[in-house]
Amino acid sequence: MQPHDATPISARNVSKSFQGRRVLDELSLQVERGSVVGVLGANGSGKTTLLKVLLGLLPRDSGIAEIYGANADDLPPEVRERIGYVPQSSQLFAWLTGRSMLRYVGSFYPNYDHEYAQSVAERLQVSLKTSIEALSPGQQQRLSIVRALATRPEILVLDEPMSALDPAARLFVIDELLREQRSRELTIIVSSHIVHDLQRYCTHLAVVKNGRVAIHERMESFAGLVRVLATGEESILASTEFAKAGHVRISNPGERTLIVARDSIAAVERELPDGITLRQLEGDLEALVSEWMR
Amino acid sequence: MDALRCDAAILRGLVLAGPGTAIVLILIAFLAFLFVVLPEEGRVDALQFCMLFSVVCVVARAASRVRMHCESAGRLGIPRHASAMRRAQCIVIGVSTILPIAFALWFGAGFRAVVIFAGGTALAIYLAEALVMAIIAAIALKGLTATGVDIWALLFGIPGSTVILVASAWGIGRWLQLPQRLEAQAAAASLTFADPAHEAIDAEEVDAANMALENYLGEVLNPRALTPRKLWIGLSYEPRGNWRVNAMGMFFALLAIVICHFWKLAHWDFGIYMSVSAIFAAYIYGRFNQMQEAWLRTPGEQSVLVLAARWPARTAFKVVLLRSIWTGIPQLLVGWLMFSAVVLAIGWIDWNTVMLTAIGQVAALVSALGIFVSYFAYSRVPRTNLLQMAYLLTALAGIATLLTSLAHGFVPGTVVGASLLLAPAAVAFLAFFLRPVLFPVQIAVRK
Repeated sequence: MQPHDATPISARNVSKSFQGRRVLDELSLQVERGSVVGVLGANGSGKTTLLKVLLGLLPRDSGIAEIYGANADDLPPEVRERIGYVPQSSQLFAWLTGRSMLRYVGSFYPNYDHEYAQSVAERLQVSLKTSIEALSPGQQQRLSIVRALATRPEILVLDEPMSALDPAARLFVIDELLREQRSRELTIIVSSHIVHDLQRYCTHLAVVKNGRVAIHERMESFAGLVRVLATGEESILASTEFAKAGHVRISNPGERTLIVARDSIAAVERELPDGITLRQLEGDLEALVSEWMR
Repeated sequence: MDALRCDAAILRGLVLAGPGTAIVLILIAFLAFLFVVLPEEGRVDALQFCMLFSVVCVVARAASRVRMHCESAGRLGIPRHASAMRRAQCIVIGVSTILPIAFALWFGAGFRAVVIFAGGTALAIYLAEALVMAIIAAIALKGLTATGVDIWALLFGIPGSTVILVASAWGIGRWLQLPQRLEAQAAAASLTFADPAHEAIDAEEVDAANMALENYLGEVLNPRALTPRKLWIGLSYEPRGNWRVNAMGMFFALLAIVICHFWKLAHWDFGIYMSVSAIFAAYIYGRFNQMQEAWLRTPGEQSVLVLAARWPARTAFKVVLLRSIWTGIPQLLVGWLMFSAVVLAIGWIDWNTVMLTAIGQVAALVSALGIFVSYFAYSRVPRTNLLQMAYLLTALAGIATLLTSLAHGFVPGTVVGASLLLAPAAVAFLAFFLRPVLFPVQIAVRK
């Protein structure tokens, strides 16, 4: 099988521990070609570790991680040059100017597009003549995005790429990502805390919790989910099984916060014992995802 | 073709990019200068020494950059970087070590050149370890000298040469394997990101960072006119000169010269004195450099640099800037003067040497000041340091010419050296003070 036809990113039962702390625990994730997957998770939930393991930058303890069917730990250069990566830390090649860094990195990527890099840098207002260490964190992050995009990757991995960007730059980057994704079927996996941004350009959302993917669904599926508060006697709640709920959390004694499909609220209500009442909570996607991350 | 492109990019990065260009140019200029100045009989030995010095500088620079490049490339997972880096390392070794060896052999330097250049290359690669080794070697050599052993015969005899060559080959071979190892380590180096604590701010660190500037809070809040100290605080630069550090520096300098003198090697006095003076001069230059970096890198850099197009119109501000650059420098000069006075009083160094070194210090100070001022004499915010590199080269040539000519009483050389030092400084000051006249402020209009 040609690697090009294989699933771009595939992880099955991947585990990774640091000094006895299990950061990834039998995690599985498939990313299809042309999809944009937003990875969400609390601080320290293992998003960066997941991305690094998927890229083969960190060896995993167990499980299978593949890029285009090739073992991530031993990616051939032909596969590696099809990946663009924006790491969390943008202070790389800090002693070079932006232009020198782009020229240097570009020489290792056969599809590197200097004119495109120049054009994106201009539109993002990145100074290429200044040494990278003298750039502000936001400018460094812009440059890092320019570098990754200019390699004309087929897979783009971004680790919190917009944390230091102003709203205008964020909008520009999102537009650029969307354009690239549509025109070249670019596969994107991006970790972020900014749910509203992800909502704009992701086709899928994945929430990482306790080292596993708690949910990985198409973006449209999230629109059909709502938060519901179940209240009643704690003893009754404790013995109730919320079989139709995708997520159950003890928010307070005598209270459970559930995530259920909007059209199945009535079905959930019918199965509840007497003394428990349901109330739909207000909130947007951010509130929904936050509930999942708790 | 792709491989060649990668190799060329890496070689540019290892040898030429950034200050590396200036270093290479300075070395070439220095070699050319010596070639012209030195008498014919001493040229081969001096050239061999200078070539070795150049090799050590270039290889040491390349070695540190290999490390930096591989750490960054490893974090990005750049394809084929490690193999391309290894090829570039081989080219560096070929050009900076094997070529000089061939050149030295052709000049009739003998097999000793092979040992010297191979050993020099290995030492340059492992510079930090080499410093420790140098101390151990110095103690061992001292012991051997006392027993009457001919050190040079031992080093360049068959057993000594073999040991040096084998150790150097091993060290160079290990260096060539470094990229692969380093890139793997670098990718895993950011393990801390898996720890949620990295996103928390340590309260103690915040306090510690603020304490340095807390002493000047009163002055900053005082609504009087702008003071030099207030200017640097505005740029988050710690303006206080450190007397304690300077006193410690002077103490260690004296300790070094005393130890070396009483180690029955009194002929080291001159070398130690010149080395200490050079360190003081480097600190003076470093002070200017730090200030310039503070100007460039502070959080408010954007606003300051935007303002930079207008502020030189005010002479008062220029004077404040000039006054502000003296912070910390008097302490350094006083430290060096006291060191010189002690050594002179003991009689280990003669007046001529002290005077010559003092002229060298003044020359370094004038050049550093000129280079610093030239930064503010641009028509717009400078983005490259080409002008300053050129200035640095001219200043070094001027200092070398001036001191050599003074030492030999060569008047035309003295005039040329002084001119090389003073003319660029004068031009920089003139441009600095006349800047609004020379370069009228242009209002940038955002489209």
